[in-house]
Amino acid sequence: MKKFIFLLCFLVLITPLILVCAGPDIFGYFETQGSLLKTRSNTYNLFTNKLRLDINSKISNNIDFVANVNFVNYNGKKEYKLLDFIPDKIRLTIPEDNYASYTYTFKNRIYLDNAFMRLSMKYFDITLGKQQISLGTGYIWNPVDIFNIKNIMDPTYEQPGHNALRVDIPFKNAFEINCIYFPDKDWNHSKALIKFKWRIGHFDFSLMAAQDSRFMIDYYSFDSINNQRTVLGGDFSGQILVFGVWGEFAYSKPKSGENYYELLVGLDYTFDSQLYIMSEFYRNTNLKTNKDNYTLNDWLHFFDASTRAIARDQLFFMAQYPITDLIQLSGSFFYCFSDKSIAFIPQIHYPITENFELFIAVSIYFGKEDTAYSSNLGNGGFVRLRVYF
Amino acid sequence: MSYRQTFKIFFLITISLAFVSTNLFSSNLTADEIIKEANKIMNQRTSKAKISMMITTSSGKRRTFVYDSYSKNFGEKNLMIYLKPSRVKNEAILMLNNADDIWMYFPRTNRIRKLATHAKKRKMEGSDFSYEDMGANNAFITDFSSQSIGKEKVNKTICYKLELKRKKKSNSGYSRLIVWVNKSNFCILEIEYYNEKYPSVLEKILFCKDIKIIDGIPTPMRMIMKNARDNTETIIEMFDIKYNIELDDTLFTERGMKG
Repeated sequence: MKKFIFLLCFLVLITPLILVCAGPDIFGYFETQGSLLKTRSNTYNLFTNKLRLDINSKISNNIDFVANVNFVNYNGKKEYKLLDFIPDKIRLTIPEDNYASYTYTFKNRIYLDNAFMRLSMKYFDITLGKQQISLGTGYIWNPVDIFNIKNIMDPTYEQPGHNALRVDIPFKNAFEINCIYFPDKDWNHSKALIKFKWRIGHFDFSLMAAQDSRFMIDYYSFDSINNQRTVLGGDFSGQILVFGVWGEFAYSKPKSGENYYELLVGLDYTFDSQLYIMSEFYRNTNLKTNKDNYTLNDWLHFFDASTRAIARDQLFFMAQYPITDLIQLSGSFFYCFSDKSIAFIPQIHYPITENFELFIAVSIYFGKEDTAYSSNLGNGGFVRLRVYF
Repeated sequence: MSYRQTFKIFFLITISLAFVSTNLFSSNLTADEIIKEANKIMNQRTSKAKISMMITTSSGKRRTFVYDSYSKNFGEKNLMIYLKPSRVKNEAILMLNNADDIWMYFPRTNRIRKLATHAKKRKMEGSDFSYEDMGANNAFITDFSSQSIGKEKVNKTICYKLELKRKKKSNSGYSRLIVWVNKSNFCILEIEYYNEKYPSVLEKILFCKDIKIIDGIPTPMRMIMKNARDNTETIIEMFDIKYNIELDDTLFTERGMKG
């Protein structure tokens, strides 16, 4: 209710501002999605309706205002019993009385995902407010992105906005500095990042240094733990021979615990037939190599998007082919080297009309019990219809 | 004879001489010179236009995309920012160096993705134009060797007919092209594109129509790309074209893509 009142106030305050400015641009989409997931003991049918309203306004020649408000409504089975998705040997270690604590409930939401102003000067841009920050060159995993963790089943879906101050300073046309500050209650709990980008030949490179701070839940005690780390890393994208190549590297020095690194390398190619293939390898030395060592926290941190994977080494492969002028069919495979489990995710994308599209994704897990891509994760999929206006 | 009549006659004689001399001169042009002249016409110092791209799929469905197009350095830098439909609104494509470097901007995720050269072959928004067709400015000269194969009429207009064969080191998606260039103004009127691996297989044909003189430059206001293999068609219509205006270099950067 508080959020609703806040949004209402926001809209009441911001609407006159937009109306006095030249050419406010209002657009967005309505999305309806039905998902089905079958685990060993439950079937989850969840239906989601989402309305996203985007507002772009040019306040003056060098000031832009951008915002979007999202209304999300859930129907069907809204309570997900998280223990349904984890191996029995871990589930059985939890007292049955505590099972109810391991439930995630999808609640209807109205939220302001982005609301920021951008001041564009000759030598720099300043963006202030809740904004999307997407870092890295990877498609599925982005080790250098301290702000987001993508859903591997739907990696191109929009990421949530972050309250931040961002300054972009381009030098000439091939060098740029990005500074991002994500404030919290004090400097130690805030995130800060500086990134240097440049271009040499057909390659884009970047180096970054960051201070990261995020709260993670200890799912045994339900305490919230602040994980702070310093991150040094970089990324690149370019071409070697006929292949597109990219990569990311992030070395993390946590305040407590051992140092670790994350590495991503990717490659893609388009054949004459328009068949497109892509592959990525991801390593995180902070993650386990033996499935017997996966803990309750490992699983639930993966589910709540606190970590990018559950096991150390992952391989992704995707083949995409336009079966008609408009319908794209793709098949994605995930292979976990650490426990030799496989997931297969076929997808169809069909823009039925210019502003109406259909997206279908199915997930099939072939891994044995307690592996990273175990059938415990539930086979199923979703159908998404989206209309843009 | 009045001053005005004298001037008129003098003017007509001058124009006629210029026309005759141009034709005399042009009749001796080599294939390389012709394609260079055509390239000059196509790639001005800067250009800006609103473009409507209408795609007719093999099943007869139609899709229309509208975008702003900017070009600089004689076509070396190209930027396209989509305006319609809403599904792709504000998405942008930046192409530099003969479309050897392509970046795409997705506003919904605020992500910029660099595409490798192989992406040049990919269809732009499912149209019959590839990224290479849209962004390869000097490719006719840098990627192909040209040879004259005579003169032929295209819609009653006498044209030079040239065959362009891909050079060994080129990464173009076509093995050869047949190009018809208007003999009087060097405007390209038709291009046949042949398969990358099988030079006898016709892939698609581009027809340039409604040629208008804008800022002294012959400009096709309508281009039709017909796919010879799957029977699809894409029509490009140009509006609000401006040539040789001031465009800042920052427009052709990641910053420019984000608008």
